[in-house]
Amino acid sequence: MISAAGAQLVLLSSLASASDAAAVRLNVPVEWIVFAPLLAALLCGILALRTGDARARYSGAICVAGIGLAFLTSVAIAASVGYGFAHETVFEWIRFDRLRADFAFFLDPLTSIMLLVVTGIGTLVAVYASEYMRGDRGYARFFAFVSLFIVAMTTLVLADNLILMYLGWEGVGLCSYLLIGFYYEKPAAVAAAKKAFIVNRIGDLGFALGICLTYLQFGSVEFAVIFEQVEALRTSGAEIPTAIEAIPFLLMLGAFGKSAQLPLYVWLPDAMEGPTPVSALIHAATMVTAGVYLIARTLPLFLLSEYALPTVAWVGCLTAVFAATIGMAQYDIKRIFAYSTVSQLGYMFMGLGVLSSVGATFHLFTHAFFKAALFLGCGAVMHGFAGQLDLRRLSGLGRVPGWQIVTGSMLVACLALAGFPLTSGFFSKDMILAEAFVTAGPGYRAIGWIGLLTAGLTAYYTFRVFFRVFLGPVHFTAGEEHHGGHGHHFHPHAPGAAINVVLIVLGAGAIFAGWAGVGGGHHGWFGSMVHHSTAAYEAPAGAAHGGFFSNPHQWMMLASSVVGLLGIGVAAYLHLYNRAAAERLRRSILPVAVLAGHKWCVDEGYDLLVRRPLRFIGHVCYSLGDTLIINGLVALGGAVPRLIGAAVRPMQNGRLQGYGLGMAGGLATVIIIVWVML
Amino acid sequence: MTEPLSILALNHYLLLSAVLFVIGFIGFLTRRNLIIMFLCTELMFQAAAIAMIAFGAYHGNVQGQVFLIFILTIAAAEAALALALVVMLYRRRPTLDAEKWSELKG
Amino acid sequence: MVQMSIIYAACVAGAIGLLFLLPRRGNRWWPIGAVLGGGALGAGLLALARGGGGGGVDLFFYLLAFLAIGAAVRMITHSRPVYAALYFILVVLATAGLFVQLAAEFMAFALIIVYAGAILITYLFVIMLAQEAPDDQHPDALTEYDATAREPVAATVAGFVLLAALLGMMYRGTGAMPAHAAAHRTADAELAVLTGKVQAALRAADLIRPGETIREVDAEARTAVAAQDSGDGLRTVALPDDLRVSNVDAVGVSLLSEFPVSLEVAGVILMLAMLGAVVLARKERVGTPRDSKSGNTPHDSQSLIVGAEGAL
Repeated sequence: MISAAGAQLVLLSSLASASDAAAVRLNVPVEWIVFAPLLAALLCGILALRTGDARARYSGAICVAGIGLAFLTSVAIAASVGYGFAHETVFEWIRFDRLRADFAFFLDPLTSIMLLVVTGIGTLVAVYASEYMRGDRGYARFFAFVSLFIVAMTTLVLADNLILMYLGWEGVGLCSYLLIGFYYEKPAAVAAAKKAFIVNRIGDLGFALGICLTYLQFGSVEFAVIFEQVEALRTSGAEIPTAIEAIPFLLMLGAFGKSAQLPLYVWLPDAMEGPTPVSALIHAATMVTAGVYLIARTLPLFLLSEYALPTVAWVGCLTAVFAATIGMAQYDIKRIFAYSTVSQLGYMFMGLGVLSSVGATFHLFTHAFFKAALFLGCGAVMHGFAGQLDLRRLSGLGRVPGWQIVTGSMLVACLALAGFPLTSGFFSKDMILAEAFVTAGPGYRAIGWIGLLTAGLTAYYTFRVFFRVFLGPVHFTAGEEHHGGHGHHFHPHAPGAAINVVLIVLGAGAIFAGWAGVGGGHHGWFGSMVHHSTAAYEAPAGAAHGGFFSNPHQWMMLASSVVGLLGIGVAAYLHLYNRAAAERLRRSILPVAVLAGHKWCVDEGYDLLVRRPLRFIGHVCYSLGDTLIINGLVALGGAVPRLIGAAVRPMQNGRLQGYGLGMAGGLATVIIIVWVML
Repeated sequence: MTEPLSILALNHYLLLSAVLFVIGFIGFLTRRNLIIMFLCTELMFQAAAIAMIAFGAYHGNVQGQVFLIFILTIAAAEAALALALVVMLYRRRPTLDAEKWSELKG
Repeated sequence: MVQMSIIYAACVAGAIGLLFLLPRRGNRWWPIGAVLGGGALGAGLLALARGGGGGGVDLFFYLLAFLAIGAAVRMITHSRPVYAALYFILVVLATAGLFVQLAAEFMAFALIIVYAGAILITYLFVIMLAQEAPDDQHPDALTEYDATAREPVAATVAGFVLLAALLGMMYRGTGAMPAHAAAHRTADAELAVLTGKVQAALRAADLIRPGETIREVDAEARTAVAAQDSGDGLRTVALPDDLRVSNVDAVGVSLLSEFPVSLEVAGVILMLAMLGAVVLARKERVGTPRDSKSGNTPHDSQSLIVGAEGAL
């Protein structure tokens, strides 16, 4: 099986720009990446079902062990795969007519990167959550879901065909739903879970249709076969059928749903109702990047259409700036970072769209570290201040004893998010913005300017949070989850060792992850990795690095540093030194601020434009279709026997003699029939 | 034991049996008094009994008579239960009209 | 062969006659019915006579059959239940006479004892218990449901169509049967199992000595093997000519040797009928001691439920 697939991969390798790519024979049990978390999920699930089992407290350790094992395997695989390709069939899954969808893994450098991010961040978050979730009634349930999420996510990442990928895709959607609604006694959590699930359905419908269309057009759902045909199609120079050009748009819809892009981003901010480790893992670092991964993985398909990638770029760009403006006006720090996630995902799509697949995946990589750090820091605050997340009620935490590590890691992560020079976000953001300026495309230069503006906005709202919450005079109010008496003074509950260690590791990652993309060759180690994967893209000769600036990357590093520092400076003035000025400013632009605070009324707009018309159509369908036609048919079906009954009922008059008469008639009839027949 | 019955003689008895049966049946259908209706069923039993005995005689054995014993048993049981029912119904409503009880229909 | 057209004509005549005879208020046409019914009976007789004669049926059959049919018609047409019951006794008696004709003496007497003696008396009791006059002024007045027949036309037509069909089928069926049942069993075959009866008869006739018992009876050869009590000295004795199996003997042997299970079932049915009659006819008494105690029942059941929950 491996050798057969290997032949395909040799063909596939011609896609890659580097010539040294080759099929690699793995000596690492790659299926452990999926099965170790699966085992953990089963164990935790059993513990979760056994209410009152004291062993449930081990579920955190089980989960950490399962995901940790997956992480170690991923490291081994990344080392083993290197710049090559590998294919591994675990078992045959679907063999139907020409349709072949095995439970098989396709490994290339892009897969390695994603696996490292997913299992690495997953392990850290599991360690963090083992302390964070302690004492929760659903402790074992939480870890069962998290392990299951890792199973689904690694399946998504490893899949060698679209259908297996879709399985993982829906699996992560399910886990996301389960974890957003983790506190299912809270109506808001239930509503948010439903919202996430339903909005994702819209995107997933596009993805499913895209898979169907791919199968119809290429006769296969396996990446290797598809890319081979795509390459043949591209080199043949023949006109590309419209149906094939439609495929990337359908896949895009799925990616936009999962990765919270306009217009389907609305579920992600609400998804913050879930436990904070979940927000960090699923709704910031990993699952939401699945859309980016999907496009990066199927980039050859996107290159077939003239309009696919510009669409991606513009949607990403608009999402980035739109979410950033909303983020500026929020008060709930978790929400601010949720909008920030939407915005940064927009950056990634922007990167994909402007043909900087390296920049997009690199930003995905760095974003995973610093956004996880930010969310986990938020979680520590929430944990310590009884659910308080309002930045107006928290101040100067940096000077509260026991919160130094949190403050430090938050500072580092904020710097990275703001694109402060030499932090990880700085490098990855530059890569995208620089490519936006150099790549020829419809309005790509405008995208670059908007991206730069967004970088400034990002720096501002990030440090708005930091200056408000961690610096300034010390004062804080406990959140709703504090139930002490009136006379009882509130003591914040400083984070423990597990949380601190995880924050230190992620903080370090937030600084140093950027160096993976810097160095010799084309964007360092990371660039080489991506260039040896299916996401590789070689810019047409002459288009890149020409004309505008002699070295766009250096120029862009300078520009974005200036913009980022400007944003930080504004935030420092308004939220650290002169908080009253911020209030005055807010009041002077009150309508705008309020509107931004209301998320530009997008939810209300959806309600008016989508929900109400749908409800109206639903009502019409119900009253016409259901009540009139279907109920009518059913009533007719019921009326027929009733009519027959009414016709026959007089026979059943309850009089004994009537029945006797019937018997006599029947007997005579039978006798006469027999008589005639004999 | 006397000579077995010839087929011609058997026909006589069977004809009598059929006539009695039909008379009993018509009585059952036309009369409205519960007690007379039960009497008519007894008449039908009689008709069946004559057919039994006649066939037994035709075949020259006593099985027809043995069957009649069982018929008598059932008739006695039926009479006991039927009359008990009549008494019970009459206590509930003092009439023996079968049609008055037709609201027992489903 | 019997002429079926005469039979069918008799059926039609009988049906019309019965229609006139059925009870109805102010029925003045009953003589027509009687004439038609008699005509129908006569036509039936004519058909039988033309169909090859009696075949061994004597005058008593015709008399008893006429009696039975007449009594049956009167039974269903008489508007007074007591008379109907009495006419039914007449039917039973006529039937019993026919049974004697058919050499079923035991069944004849059983019929009279069980039917005329037991069942009909019960009927009469119930009639007297349950009969009521429509108004107290005229104790002899008929109730409505006794005085009028219900749907007489439909019932009579259905009945006589059934009769015609039955008779048609019967003559077709019996026409295919042999004139006499071919192989019938040896006369007095039951003697083989009735050794006690044989021994008593032989002893009464002094054909065996006091110390001897009958070991075996050969019914066909009409001999019996007698043996000394000591176990030896077997000898064969011829059975006396007047030793016959009676009807009761034959029925008893058949009942016990061929249908023992059915006999048991019949016994069970009778017992159940008795129980059922007792349960049905028992008067429900209001305010039994159990009812008066029912005030405590809810509390008891509640405590039971609580107890069950506690156990859970």
